[in-house]
Amino acid sequence: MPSIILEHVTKRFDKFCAVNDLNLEINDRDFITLLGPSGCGKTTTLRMIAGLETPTTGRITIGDKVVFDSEAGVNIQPAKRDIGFLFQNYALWPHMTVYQNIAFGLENLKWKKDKIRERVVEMLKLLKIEEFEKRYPSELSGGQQQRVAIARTLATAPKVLFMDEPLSNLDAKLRGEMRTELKRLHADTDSTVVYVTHDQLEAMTLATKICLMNKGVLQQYASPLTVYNDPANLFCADFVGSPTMNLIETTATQIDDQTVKLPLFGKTLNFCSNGVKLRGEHVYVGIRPEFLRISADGALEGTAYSTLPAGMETTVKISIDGMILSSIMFGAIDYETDQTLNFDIVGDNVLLFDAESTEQIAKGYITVQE
Amino acid sequence: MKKTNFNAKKTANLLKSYFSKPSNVLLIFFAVALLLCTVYPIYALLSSSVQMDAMDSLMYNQLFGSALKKGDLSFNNYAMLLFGKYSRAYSVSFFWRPLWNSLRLSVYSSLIAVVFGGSVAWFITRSNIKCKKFISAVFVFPYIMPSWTLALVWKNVFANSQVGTGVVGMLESLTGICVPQWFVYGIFPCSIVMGLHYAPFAYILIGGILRNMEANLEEAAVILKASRFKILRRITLPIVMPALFSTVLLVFSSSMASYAVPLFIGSPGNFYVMSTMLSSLYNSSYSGQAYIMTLVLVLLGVGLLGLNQWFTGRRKSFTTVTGKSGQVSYVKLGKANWPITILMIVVLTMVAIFPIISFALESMCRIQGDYSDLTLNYWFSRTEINEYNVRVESGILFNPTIWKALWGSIKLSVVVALIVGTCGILIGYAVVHNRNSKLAHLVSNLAFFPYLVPSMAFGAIFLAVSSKLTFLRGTFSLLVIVGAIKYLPFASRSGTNSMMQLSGEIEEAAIIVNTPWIKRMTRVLFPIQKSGFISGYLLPFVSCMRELSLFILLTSSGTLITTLLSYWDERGVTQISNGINLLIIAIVLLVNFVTNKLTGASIDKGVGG
Amino acid sequence: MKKIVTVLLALLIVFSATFALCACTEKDTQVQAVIKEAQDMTWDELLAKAREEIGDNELSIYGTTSRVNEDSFTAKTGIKVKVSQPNDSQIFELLKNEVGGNVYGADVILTTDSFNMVNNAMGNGWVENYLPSVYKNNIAEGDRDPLVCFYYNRAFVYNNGNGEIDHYISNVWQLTEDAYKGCEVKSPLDEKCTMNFLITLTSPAWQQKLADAYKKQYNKDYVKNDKYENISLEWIDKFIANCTFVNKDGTIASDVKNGKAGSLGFFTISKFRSVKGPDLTICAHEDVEGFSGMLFPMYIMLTANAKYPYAACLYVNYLMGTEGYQAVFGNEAGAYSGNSSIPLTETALEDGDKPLNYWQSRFVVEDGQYISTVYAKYYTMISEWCASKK
Repeated sequence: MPSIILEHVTKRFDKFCAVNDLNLEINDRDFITLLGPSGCGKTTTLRMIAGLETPTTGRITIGDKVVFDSEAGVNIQPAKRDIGFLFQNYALWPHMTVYQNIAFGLENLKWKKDKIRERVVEMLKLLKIEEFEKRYPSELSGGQQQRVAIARTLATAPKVLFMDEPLSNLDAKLRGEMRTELKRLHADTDSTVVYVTHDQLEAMTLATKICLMNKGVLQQYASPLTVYNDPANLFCADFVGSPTMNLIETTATQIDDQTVKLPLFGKTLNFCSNGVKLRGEHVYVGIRPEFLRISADGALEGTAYSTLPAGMETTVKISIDGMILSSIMFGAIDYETDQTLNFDIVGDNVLLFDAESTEQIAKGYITVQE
Repeated sequence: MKKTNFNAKKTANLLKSYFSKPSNVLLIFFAVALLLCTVYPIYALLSSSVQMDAMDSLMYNQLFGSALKKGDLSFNNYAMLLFGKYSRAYSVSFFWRPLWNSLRLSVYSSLIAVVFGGSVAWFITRSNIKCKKFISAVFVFPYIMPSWTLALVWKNVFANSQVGTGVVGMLESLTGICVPQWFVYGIFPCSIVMGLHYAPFAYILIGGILRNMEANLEEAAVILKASRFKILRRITLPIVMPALFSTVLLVFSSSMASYAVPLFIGSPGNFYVMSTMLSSLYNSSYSGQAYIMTLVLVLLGVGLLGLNQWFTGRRKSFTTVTGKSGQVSYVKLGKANWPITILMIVVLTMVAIFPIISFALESMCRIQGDYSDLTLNYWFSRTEINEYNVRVESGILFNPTIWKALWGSIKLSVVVALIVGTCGILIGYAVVHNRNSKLAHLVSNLAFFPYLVPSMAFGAIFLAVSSKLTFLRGTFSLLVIVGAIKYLPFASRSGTNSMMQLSGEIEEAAIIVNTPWIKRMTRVLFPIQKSGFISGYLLPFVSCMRELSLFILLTSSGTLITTLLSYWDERGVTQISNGINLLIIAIVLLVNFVTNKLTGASIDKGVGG
Repeated sequence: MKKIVTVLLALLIVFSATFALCACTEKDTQVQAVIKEAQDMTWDELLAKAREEIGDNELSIYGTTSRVNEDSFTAKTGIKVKVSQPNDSQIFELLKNEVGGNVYGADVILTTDSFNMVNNAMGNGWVENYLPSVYKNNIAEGDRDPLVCFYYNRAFVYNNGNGEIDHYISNVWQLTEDAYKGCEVKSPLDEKCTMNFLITLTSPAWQQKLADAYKKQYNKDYVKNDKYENISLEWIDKFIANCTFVNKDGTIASDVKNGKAGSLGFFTISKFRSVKGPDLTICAHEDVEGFSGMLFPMYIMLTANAKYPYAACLYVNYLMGTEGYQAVFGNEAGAYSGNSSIPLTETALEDGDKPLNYWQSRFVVEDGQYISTVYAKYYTMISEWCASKK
C-alpha cells in the first residue's frame, strides 16, 4: 500500500536552501500535517512529493514506485503519481462550471459519459453542493468553492491526497466546520493525506502525525500529543500549544543522576526526573500553562499582570521576578491587576532544554526547596 | 564499465525527465530558432560590411585608386563612413550628425510619448475626466495609421506663406499666425509627430500598470497626509517606472528606425537621421556602409534592451504590483475638467480623426486638393475611369485587383497573426515556467530582438537569404516567415504577460488530474486568458495589415494591399491611394472592434496585458 | 592515403568546374541564340514560340517601377506575368546572386540605374540585350544597347501667379542665385536619376554649355577658381545649397501650385494632371539658357539565365510597341517611348507635353556611358554636399 518515503531530500533555490536533507516516512492511511512557520519549506516539501517541484537531490518513493531519484535521474510526472492535490486558493478553472470542473479529471481518464455523470453526482452529494452543479466558480462563496475543489480532487479517487493550506482563505467558523469534514473524509475515503498548514491547532486536531519543520529542517516527526507533551527541542515546544509554553531561562547545577538544582524566583527549585544529565549549566525550563496552578497555598508568589477570561477557561498572566508567565485555569475567573497570586508548578511534564543545542534533555517534575 | 553505464543511464533519465516537460522543450526550441534568427542577420550584416561586393570595390577603386576585387575583405566601409577616409565632412554628415540627430530625436519623441501617453493614461485611470470612452477608444488610432499621415497633417496645419513655397496651411488661414520654418520642418515637428504616433504605447503600458495598481497604495499615502504631487512623485511614478522604461525602450527603438516622418518633414529642413541616411546608402552603391549603419542601429537597440533589463531587474519587486484595484477613488479635476477634456478631444481629433476624414475627402477629389469638386466615382464606378490623372479599370469597391490584393493582405496577416500569436503564447508559457532560468531570460530577450532591426534592413536581409534559398524566393511562405519573425516581439510580450497573470496552480490542478499538455493549453489556459491571448493575435494582424517597407522588396506589387497602395501612390493617383489607405484603416478598426465585442480582446491589451 | 584524397579532391574540383562552366556557357548561348532568332521574327511567330515555351508558367519581371504591372500583356498574349519591385540597387544584388549563382529568378529586368547597368550588369554579363528589328530604325542609335524602353522627364516649373509673371527663369544660373532660393527638388540622396542628372552635368560638353550660359547671364567669362574643379561643380554645389529637398513629386507639384507666385519646383510634368490649373508654367517653353530639365532612361534587358527567353523577347517587343506603351502610360505626359514612332496622345499634348526630341534639345539627357567613368568621384562629392546641407 502507498506509504511515502523521502530520503535525503534537499531543495535549493539558487543559494537559498528551502528543504535540507529531509527524511520522512509516511504510512498508509496516515493523516500527516506538515507544520511550521511560513517559509519553513513545508509547501516545497509537499510540492516535491506531488512532483510539481523537482528536488535538488534525494529520493522519493510512493508505494513501491520510486517517483524521484536524483542519483538515477528518475522523475515521474505528477499525473503518473496517482495523487490528488488541493490548492490553497482552490485553482478552480473560472471558465468551467462546477460540474465541468469536477468531471474534467475523469474525462482525462477516458471514462464513459454516464459513469462520469454518476461519479460527479456522487461527489456533489458527498460534499453537499448538488444545487451548484451548473454554476461558475465566481458565483460561489469561499466555502462552496472549497467544497468544489475538494470534490474535484476526490473525484478520481486518488490513493494519496495532498492539501496545501486549503482552509486558510476561510473564516474561522467555516474553517472549523471544514476541519470536521476533512477528518471525516479521511476516514471515509481510506486515503493517505499530507496536509500543509501553519496553524498548530489545525495540525493538532487533524493529524495522526505532525511533521514539524523550521528553516528547511525537520524538527520533530511524531503524533500530535507526543509533539505537545514531549517536544524535541525549544522550537517545537514554543511552536505548538496555545497559549505558548512558559520557557524560563536559568542556570542549573547537577545534584545527582535524578536531580538538578535550579535557582528560580528567588528560591531554589529541584528538577527531578528518572534520568537527567546536564550538557551545560545554561538551560531553559519549559512549563505548559496548565501546569502552573494558582492556589492560595501555592509555594511561589507573583502578581496578576493581566487576566484574559475566554469563558471556558481563563489565561492568567503572572508577573514574577521580572518575567511574565502564562497559566490556564478552568472556568471564568477574574483577578484584579497587581493582586498577589500564589501558585505551584504541578505535574510530571515539566521539560528541561539545553540552551546551546536547544534540545530537550529531560522530562520531570519540580519541587520547591524550602 | 558498469559505472559509466550507470552514468549514461542517469544522464538519459535526466534528459528524459527534462524533456518530458513541454515548457522545457519549447524553451529549447525557441532558444535555438531565435538564436538562428538573431545570429544570422548579425552575421550577414557584419560580413557584408567588411566583404566588398562588386559595386563597393568598383566605387573604392574609382575613388581611392585601389585594386579591390569582389569578395575581398576591406575596412574601407568603416574607414569612409566612420573615420573620414574620404573626408571629414562625409563622415560627419553621413554618420556622426545623423547619429546625433537620431539620438536626440528618439530621446525627445520618447519623452513626448511618455509624458503625453502617460498623462492621458493617468487621466483615464485616475481622474474623473469626461468622455473617457471616446478618448481611450480614439487614442490608439495614431498607432493604427501609418506614421507619415500625422506628418502630413502637421504640414497641412502649420505650412504658411513664410515657409517654402508659401502654401497657406490651416493655422494661417484661420488665425493669420505664421509659425517659423523650424516649427514646420526639422527636429521639432519630427519629435512631436513621432511622440504622438507612439504615445499609444505609453498609454497602453502605463495605463495597464495604473489600472492594476492597488488604489490602496495611493490611498495609504493620502491618509499619511502626502500632497497629490508628492504621491505622484513618491508612490505612483516609482511604481510605473518599469512600464515607463518599457515604453521608452519601445518608442526609442521605433524612433531610431523610423523613416517616413523624418523624410516627410525632416529632409525639407535639412534634418537627417540614421534611417534616412541608411536608406540612401542602401540605394547607393555604398551598400556596405548601409550595413554598418544597420549594425549600429541594432547595437544601440541591444544596448537599450540591456539597460532596460538591468533596470527592471534591479527593481523586480515593483513589477509584481498586480491584482485588480477594487475601489478606485478618482481625482476630481473640478473646474479644470472640461477644459482638459476639450483640449484632449481637440488634440485627438487632429491626430486621429482628421487624417481619416482627409483620406476620405482626397479619395473623392477629382483634382487633388480641390474640395469643391467631389465624386464618389472612384469608389463605386463599375466601369473604367479615365479622367484627369486617374486611369483605373473600375472603382475601388468593384476593382478585382484591389480585392485580390486586399485578400492577399488579409490572408497574410491572418496566417502571420496565427503563427506569431501562438508562438507568443508558447514562448510566454515556456518563459514563465522557467522564470528564473538564464535560458528563459535569453529567450524572452531574443524574442524582442527583431523589434530592434529596422524593417527596411530586415526586408533586405531576407531578400539576401531568399536569393540563396531559392525555393523561398517570391513565395507566400517567405512573407509569412518574415512577418512572423518581425512581429514576434509583440506577441511574445503579450503572451508572457498573460501567462504571468495565471497562477501556476491553475495548470497544476490540471496536471494532477492527468490532463495532456495540449488539452491543458487549449481547454484550461487559453480559455481563461482568452482576451489577453487574442490580443496577442490582434497586434501582429494590425501591424501586418499596414506594413509596407518590410514586404515591398519581397513581393510583387499586386500581392498585398500596401504594395498596391504604393503602386498607385507612385503613379500619383492620390484618389485611389488615399481610398486604399482608408480601406486599410477601416478594416483594421473593424477587426479590432469586432474582436473586442466578441472576445473582449483589444490592441491595447496586446501590449499592456 | 593523403595523396589519394588530394587527387580525388582535385578531380572533384576540376569536374565540378567543368560542369559548371558547361552549364553556364550552354545556358548563355541558349538565351543569346533565342535572342538572335527572335530579332527577326514577326509578332505572331514569336508569340507562338513563347506560348509553347512558357505554357501555364509565369514570366518573371523585376522592375524598379510598378507601372509595368499591366494585365494587358496577359490579355493580349495569354501569358501570365509576375512583376516584383525591388529598387535599383536590389535588382543588381539579385542579379549578382541569381544570375551569378545560376539560379533562375527573373526573365526581364527594367531599371533606370545606368551606372549599374553599364558597369555591373553588362560588365558581368548578367544581362542580354534584345533589339526587335521591326523597331530598330525608330530607336536612336545610342538607345539600342542597352535598350531604352522609356524616357522620363523632370522639368523646372514655376507658379506664375495666374499670369502675373512670365519668363521667370531665363538662365539656368539664376537657379543658383539667392532670389530663387527654395526650388523644391527630390533629393539626389533618395533618387538615382537626380544624382545621375547632376553627374551628367560634369561632362565636358555640359561644362561648355554652362560656361556659355554663365557669360550670357553675367556678361563675363567664367573664371575657374580654387574651390571647384570645374564650372559644373560650382553650379551643382550652389544649386543644392539653394534648393529644398522634398520627398515626392506629387508634393512638389502641389506645393508649387498652391504656393506663392514665383514658387519653383523640379518635377515630372505628368503631375500636371493631378494639380490641374493655369498657374503653372514649364520653364522650358520660355527658352532657358543652359537647360531647363532632365531626361532619364528606363532600360529593359533579358537576364542571361532567363528561363523563358522567347516570352521575354515577346514582352520586350510588346513594351516597345504602341500598344504596350499606351497600356503602361495611356494618356500620361512625361514619359516617352524609346521607339520614336510612337506619338504622344492628344491629352498629353494638351497638358503641355512635347515630343521627345523637343525635350532632348532643352534638357540634360542622362549619359550612362559618361557617368560610369566618373561615378564614384562625383557621386561621393555631390552626396556629401547634399548631406551636409544646412
